[in-house]
Amino acid sequence: MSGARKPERITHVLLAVFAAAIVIAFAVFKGHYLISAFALGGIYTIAIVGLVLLTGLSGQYSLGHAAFFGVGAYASALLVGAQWPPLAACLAATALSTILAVLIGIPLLRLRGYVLAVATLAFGLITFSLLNGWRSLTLGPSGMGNIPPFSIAGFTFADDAADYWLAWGAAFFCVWAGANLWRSRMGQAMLAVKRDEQAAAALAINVAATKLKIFALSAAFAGFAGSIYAHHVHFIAPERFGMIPSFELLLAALLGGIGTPFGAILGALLLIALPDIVVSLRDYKVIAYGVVFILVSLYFPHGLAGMIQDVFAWARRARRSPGPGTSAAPAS
Amino acid sequence: MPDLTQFAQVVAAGLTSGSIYALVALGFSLVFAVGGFLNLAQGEFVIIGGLITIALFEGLGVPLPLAAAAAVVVAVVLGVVLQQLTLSPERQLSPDAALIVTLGAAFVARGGAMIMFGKDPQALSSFSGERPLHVGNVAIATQSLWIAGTLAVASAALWLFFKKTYAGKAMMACAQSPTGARLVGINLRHIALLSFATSAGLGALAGIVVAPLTFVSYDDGLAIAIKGFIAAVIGGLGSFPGAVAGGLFLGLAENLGAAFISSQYKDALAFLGLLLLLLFRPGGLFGAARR
Amino acid sequence: MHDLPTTTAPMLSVQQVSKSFVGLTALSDVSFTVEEGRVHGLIGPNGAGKTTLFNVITSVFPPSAGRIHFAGRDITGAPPHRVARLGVARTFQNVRLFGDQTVLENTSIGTHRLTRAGIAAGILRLPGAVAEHRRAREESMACLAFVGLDHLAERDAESLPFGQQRLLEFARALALRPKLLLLDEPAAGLNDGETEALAQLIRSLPAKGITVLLVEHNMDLMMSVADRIVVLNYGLKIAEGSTEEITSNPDVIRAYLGEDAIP
Repeated sequence: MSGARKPERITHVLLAVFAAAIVIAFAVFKGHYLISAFALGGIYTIAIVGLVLLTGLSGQYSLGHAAFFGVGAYASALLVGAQWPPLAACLAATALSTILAVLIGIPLLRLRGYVLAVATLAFGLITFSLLNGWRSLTLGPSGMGNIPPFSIAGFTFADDAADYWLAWGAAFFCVWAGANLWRSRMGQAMLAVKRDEQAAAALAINVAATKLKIFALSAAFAGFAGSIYAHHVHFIAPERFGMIPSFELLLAALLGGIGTPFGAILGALLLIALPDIVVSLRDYKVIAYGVVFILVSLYFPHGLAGMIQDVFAWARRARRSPGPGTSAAPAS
Repeated sequence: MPDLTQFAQVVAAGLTSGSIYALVALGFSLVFAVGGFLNLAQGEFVIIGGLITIALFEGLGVPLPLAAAAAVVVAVVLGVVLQQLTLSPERQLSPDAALIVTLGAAFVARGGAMIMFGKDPQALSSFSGERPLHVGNVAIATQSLWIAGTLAVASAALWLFFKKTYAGKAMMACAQSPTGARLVGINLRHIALLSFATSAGLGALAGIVVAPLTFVSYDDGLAIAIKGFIAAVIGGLGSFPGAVAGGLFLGLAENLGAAFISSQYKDALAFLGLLLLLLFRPGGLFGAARR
Repeated sequence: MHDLPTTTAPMLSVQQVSKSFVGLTALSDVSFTVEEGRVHGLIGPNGAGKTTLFNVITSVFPPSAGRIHFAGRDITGAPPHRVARLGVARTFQNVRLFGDQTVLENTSIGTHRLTRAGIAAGILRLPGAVAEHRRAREESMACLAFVGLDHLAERDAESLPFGQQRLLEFARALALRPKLLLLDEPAAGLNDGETEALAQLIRSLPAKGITVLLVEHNMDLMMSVADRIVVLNYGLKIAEGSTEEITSNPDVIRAYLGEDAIP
């Protein structure tokens, strides 16, 4: 099942619906406290699009992605604290996340994919312990506060409403970018790498470089999201960027659907609803995460968006296949 | 300039933690060699082994050997259940999908451990008492000898198993070539089950013997799994001698680094070391990686 | 003072190539050259090492000994994507298509070599990238038309019958605009009509500037397209020559049919 088969019009329709939903939701919830939660959803969408591209497009897994998110948040907060303009701090934080991903990726991406996956897990744990332990830099477990709001060229995003537009504007750009990438030459190359690395190499695709590029891009998205996050919540602490947040990001991506960048939106909405969902689970939260994770991996690998796509694809396939009496096998 | 005693002390500590890493890495390599995937729940077997032993021995007064045996049995049973439900060869999961499933299992185990044993780190008394052994000026905890001994016995048992028993040779055959093994009539499903059960047992053993030296906490599992993974990669994924060598190497390097460079960032240094190693020797230190 | 080259380098030069795996020697001191514009055949009983030789040429793994030269350039052990980039395309014995994509999408991945748009251009949908993508699609459609699959462009690759999947892989390899095309048993699973159509396609390739190295068990096809044939057995080259020379060669007959078959 490939998101690349989505005809262009459907992508345009979905983008239009997405844009409309952003506007309508704001109109409905303006002034409500939920605007802040929705802004968070936009921020998460950016990070999750990165994961969707990484896993859905090139078949790799990042098991410590909150680390890139955290690096972006802390870097941005620290630079702004050093009197950098927020926009420059944001770009620098994004660049730092990207560079870290490249440094990890170069030795690892020549090996099989699961080596990278476990290494990202290690990276996540180590970053978390560094954020906790390097008190002179990060102020340790008690966190860093007084982070000023984001501002561009004099305009300050001073309240939740402004943050809402910043977050969802950026999220829209990232989803659009992801959809473009999916249908582009590099996107097709990544899909080929995911499907069959050896065949891709025989088609002149530089497999290691392709995997590295998408890994770096996914880290860039996460770092960028982290920066906006820091300026939205004004207070960050290492516990928001540890093992379980990484897991939640991945779970959100898988549940939302890794077959299309639009799945990231669904995943992000799930993520902002998560605290309310798990409140009743209390101590069983982690067990529930694990069980859902296993079930989704085994039985719903394409998540919610995938199930929706399957319905459309089934209808399209009924039009494409020549009908009974041929050897065309029904695709699953 | 560190003196000889201090150096020897660090080496002893390094070999001790290295032995634990080696046991975990053996479990990793066993599952990887036969099943082709990495088991991120490997560290949870370690935790389960330790926590159950503590609960039975310290909490209920069950004699230590019995408590330890029960812990191993529980870990093996849980491993078998996990493998049969989600990871058996018929599912034909890709290595990445299997990895993700084991990550989910690790979280289930972590959550379960938290509910059953609480959040506080638990302690187990030393097997042979608290008085350390003195070799010259170097003080060696008797537990370290237990740990080294466990590694030695486990390694020897595995070696005999692979060389002398039908099941062991079959497992080697599966590791070399699953299709070839199937063609000569080896039951891949049984071998996969056996390898997973054995790795669970190895993990539990490691957890039991290391519990007296460090506190066991419900959320240490993934960190342990990562250490075992790094050790296995250093020695070459899928290689059993490599797992032992890699584990000991990692333990030594880590302790030497912590003693003479920095103790706070030793994990980051270990990770950096791994990246550098893989940059120049993707097949591990000895180039022994398989697959 | 430079000597003028008196001959152009052969398109492919296999020099004393050996390949051993643990406990198995797949190729032993194999040497031959393929001249530009020829259709060269590679035959041998099963297990003779033909696919291994293809894998060494395309650098799936390096040889244990020997060198491979492509158009005068040493490509031994180069990264496989680099070899493809230089203009070597191949099909696989067990067709390796991207099943979850359409026929057209599979083919256009073959144009990767000819296009340049990177990640940034793709993300931002730069006009240059879009135009390039469209040209690549047109090129792919042309390749599909060449093999007769253009009417199936929007079908899922995995829904095609096996014979057409082989043709699709062929079209995908052609989309690279290769100078050398390695075909690994392209006729396996095709009926007589399809095989004859395939023969015509292969015969037309030299005119398009494509040199062909063909592994095939179907002797009729091989004889009707190949200019020269190399015969392998147990990893050794046992004969090389025109089709007449090969079919009357006692070593070849012995390899295929056993000692008793020599007339």
